[in-house]
Amino acid sequence: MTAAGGALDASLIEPERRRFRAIPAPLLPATIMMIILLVAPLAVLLSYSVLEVNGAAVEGGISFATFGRLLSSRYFWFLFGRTFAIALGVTLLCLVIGYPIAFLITRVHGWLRAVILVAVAAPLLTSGIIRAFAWIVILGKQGLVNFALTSTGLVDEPVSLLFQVRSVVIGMTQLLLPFMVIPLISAIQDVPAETTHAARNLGASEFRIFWRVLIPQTVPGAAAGITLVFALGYSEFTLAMLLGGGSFNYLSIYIYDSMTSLLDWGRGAAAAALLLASSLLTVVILNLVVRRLTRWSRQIN
Amino acid sequence: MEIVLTGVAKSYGDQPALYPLDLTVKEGEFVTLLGPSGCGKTTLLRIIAGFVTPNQGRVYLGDTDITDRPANRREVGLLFQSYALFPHMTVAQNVAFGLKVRRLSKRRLAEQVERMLDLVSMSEYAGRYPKQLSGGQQQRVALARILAIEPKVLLLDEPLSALDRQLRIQMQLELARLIAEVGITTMFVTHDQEEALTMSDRIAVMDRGTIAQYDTPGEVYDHPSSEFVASFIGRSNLIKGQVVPGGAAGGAQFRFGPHSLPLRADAARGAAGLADGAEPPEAAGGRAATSGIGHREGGTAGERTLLVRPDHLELLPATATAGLPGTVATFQDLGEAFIYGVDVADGPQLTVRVPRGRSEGLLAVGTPVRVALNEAAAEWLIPAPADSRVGAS
Repeated sequence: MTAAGGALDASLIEPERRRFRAIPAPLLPATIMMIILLVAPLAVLLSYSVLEVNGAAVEGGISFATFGRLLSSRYFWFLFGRTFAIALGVTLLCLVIGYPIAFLITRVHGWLRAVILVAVAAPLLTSGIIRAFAWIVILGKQGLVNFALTSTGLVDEPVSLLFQVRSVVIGMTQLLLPFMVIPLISAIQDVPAETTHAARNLGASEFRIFWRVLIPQTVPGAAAGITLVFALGYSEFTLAMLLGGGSFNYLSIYIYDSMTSLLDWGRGAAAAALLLASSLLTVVILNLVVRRLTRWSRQIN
Repeated sequence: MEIVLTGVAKSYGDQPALYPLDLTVKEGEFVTLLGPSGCGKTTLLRIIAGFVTPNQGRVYLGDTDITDRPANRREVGLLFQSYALFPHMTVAQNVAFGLKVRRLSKRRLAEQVERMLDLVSMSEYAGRYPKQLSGGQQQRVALARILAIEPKVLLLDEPLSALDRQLRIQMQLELARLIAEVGITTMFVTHDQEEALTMSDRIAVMDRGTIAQYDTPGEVYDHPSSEFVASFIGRSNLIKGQVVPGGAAGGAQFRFGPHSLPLRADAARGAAGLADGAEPPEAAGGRAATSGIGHREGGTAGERTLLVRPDHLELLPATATAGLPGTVATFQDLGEAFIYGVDVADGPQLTVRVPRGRSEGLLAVGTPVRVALNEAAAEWLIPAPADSRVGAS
């Protein structure tokens, strides 16, 4: 056990205290794959943002000129703000629509529950492009929505629903809803039923029980859904491009254009770097806020 | 406030959970519903709290019929086994919850919260969250939360079952003291008979949807009304045999196999000299003392079961003349006592409890001994089924 003289054997120190933990052997293949397929390409891309790049060719060494160009562009800031606002708006919509759906799912059973779950998760079963085209059909001037509106006499003329911001918001909300609903279902089911019984015993109305006892306890779970939906909405590409139409721009589309048609790889890489950084920052801040709000759910010594 | 249940019954589909029963808990009384899992005790409690609707019967609080009132409109406080504190609220906010519902003024609310936290000695923890508290502390907060709304009746659903033994015993005392201080009518549910015996004014022993006996702890322990009650409470020796009149001094004998034990005069209810106000014995030529044992209106002795508690027996050396001969078959060392299972020759196995101080050490399996009633012995004849009490008031 201990060496003669009483010196402690290094292997007796618990793993948590060691500075670096070795990657367990079974994880090595996956780790290597991640490095090759994700980390390396990302590093290459991002390197383009800090080098002197002319078009698609690297011409010089470290330079922050591209960043300077981007950050001083008013248009870029407009785009940045719009992307952020749409992602935020979609997140809020998913929250507002997702909660009732999640509640419904927790209260029904059997085949009805299965049907609703499949309906919510359906968008994930199809490819992004097919999804976008489906929406184009539905939202078009002769599409389902307009058909319903005009034939019932609610409007005289078909409403323009396609190739605008609202089209993108609608499409993204539907797409990202399952990412909100599924964590919410867990969150709702994790609330101990006895807390609602106790509230009832103390004389609370169903309304008060719902808003003051039930919902607050679902916040930790809701946080997971919010983070996921925001991150996905912020970086969404296919839906934004196809549903937004020719004049609609989004950060992801801007990067795409820079890389493919404009062949300004420096700008594309810099925009991508900013997209990544701002996304991470938002998620971190969101988590900090949620952690503060849900102090009560953690064991404090 | 009194709790009165009349004819309350509950079935789930065609599975009966409670057969029609009557129960009265007097003002300020501490009553325990005691029984094994599935006996219906929790169902009964929840009926009173309003979480379960009975199929028949009425529930009264004092003179008020609360049977049709929803669970959030009864003036009862229910303490759950898990305490069910609101984890997202501080201790003070938890206690204030019921008061907020009743729209008290800010000042009165704060006063009441302070009073309640003081009562349960949790004032310093007002700003903490439930997750930061120990089990015992959480229970105190849960109690304060309930008492804050000044309910007419307190219902406790196995609140101590989740605690380890030492803490449990401590909380039993604390809880009993607190409840006595407040003086509220209390109904407590548990499957732990020791708990029931320690804390209650009266115990309702329940078995598969009915109340088997409703009496003080002393009565339930010393004079159980059925074999179920006898074996559920404490350890017991239930010996089947016959009551035979005769024997020394006009008494009776209990005969089982080739053995017989003399019966005391008050070994059965209805016999002369019993404390519960039995009618005076028929004078029958000096046999007055035994006129009740084994005899009911028109009934005869017949097969009866005798209850002898293990602490009413003692072990004598095999060379002794008193008692019944037997051999040690099993033993358990409880720390404070030894529990022996002694196979009586031509008889049943009897459980004997020997306090540690009283013995010279553990007897090995196979040791021949003699089993005798000790001076404190108070054996009891289980009432024949036709005589057992039904209903409880």
